[in-house]
Amino acid sequence: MSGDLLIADTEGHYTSSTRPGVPLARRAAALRSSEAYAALTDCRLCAHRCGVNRLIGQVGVCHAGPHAKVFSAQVEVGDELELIPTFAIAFSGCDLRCDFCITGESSWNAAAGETLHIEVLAARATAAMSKGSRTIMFLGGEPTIHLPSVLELAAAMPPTAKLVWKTNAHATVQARELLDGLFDVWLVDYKFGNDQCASRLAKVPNYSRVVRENLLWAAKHSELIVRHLVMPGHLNCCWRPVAQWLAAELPGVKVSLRASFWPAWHSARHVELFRATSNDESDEAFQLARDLNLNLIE
Amino acid sequence: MNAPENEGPQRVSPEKSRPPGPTETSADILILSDGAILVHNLTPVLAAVLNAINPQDPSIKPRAFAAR
Repeated sequence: MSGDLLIADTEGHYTSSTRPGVPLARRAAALRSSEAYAALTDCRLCAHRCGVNRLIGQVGVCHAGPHAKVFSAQVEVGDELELIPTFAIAFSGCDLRCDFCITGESSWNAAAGETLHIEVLAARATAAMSKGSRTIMFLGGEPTIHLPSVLELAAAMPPTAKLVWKTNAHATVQARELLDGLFDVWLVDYKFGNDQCASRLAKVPNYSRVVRENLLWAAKHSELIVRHLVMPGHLNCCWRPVAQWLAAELPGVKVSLRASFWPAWHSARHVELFRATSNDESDEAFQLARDLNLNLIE
Repeated sequence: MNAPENEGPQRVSPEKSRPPGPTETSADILILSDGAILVHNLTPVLAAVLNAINPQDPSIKPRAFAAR
């Protein structure tokens, strides 16, 4: 380590002695990015634990190489009210294969989009913040698979910006340790209520164990918002067990329930996903949330 | 049982639907037969448009005003 000293201001915010004005979190992100690049030689950033060497061209489930690409970066207002407007940066590629993915063309293709130019994106994020954006959101695809680039970008973000980590919660302990303390909010998509649906619709094994492990960790390490998209025909197999688990294990956690499913990408491979969520299903989903006293946010 | 893929929503060709580069802005919108409007990647401009169409919609109003 550099022998850096931490300097606290009157509000208890720490900054680096070698880079005054740069919060510790940004400094830590820069320091950890090289560690994250080294991790790509035996990639186990997500729970697939492929073990491939991404630095020499080997690819795992996500097909991502060593460098991230970005398919969208813009100010958005569709996320949770406490986060918007947000400057949302979407990384290409994902470690899940959700057939209903709304951004399937880019999320299933880690080579989609444009090369990440950190200085350019940081400047655009800074401009967005100066024009009223409240947060900067890192999402995908799934940003976890691009941790080296993500950490470099996080280090370049405006010092006072609130950073949001939007994730599928399929990370390993290794990835979480690299992320620890760098993002102010974890916005977690808890998609499936059982492993059978997860395997069938997203080709991911052991889903429940992994996502719950990540959720419990995130709740202790940052602000946490859990989002669930109600899928047509999956109220009882997916939303109900998700809601019941949240009520039991994370009481009071902020829950963002969404009923805006539409049959995108390869949804037509599954007969029940070939329609939008009905009003009745939406009403029942929200009623269940109220019955369980979930802390619903908009 | 899986539904035939060719009965899915009509999509434009891959060339025309190429994901926008990070310097462009884009949003996806789907209008259902009952008039409900679903949006993905809601931008401030589109939120303002939707709010103008239906100022009584409580879900869109705070988003339309969030970026002002």
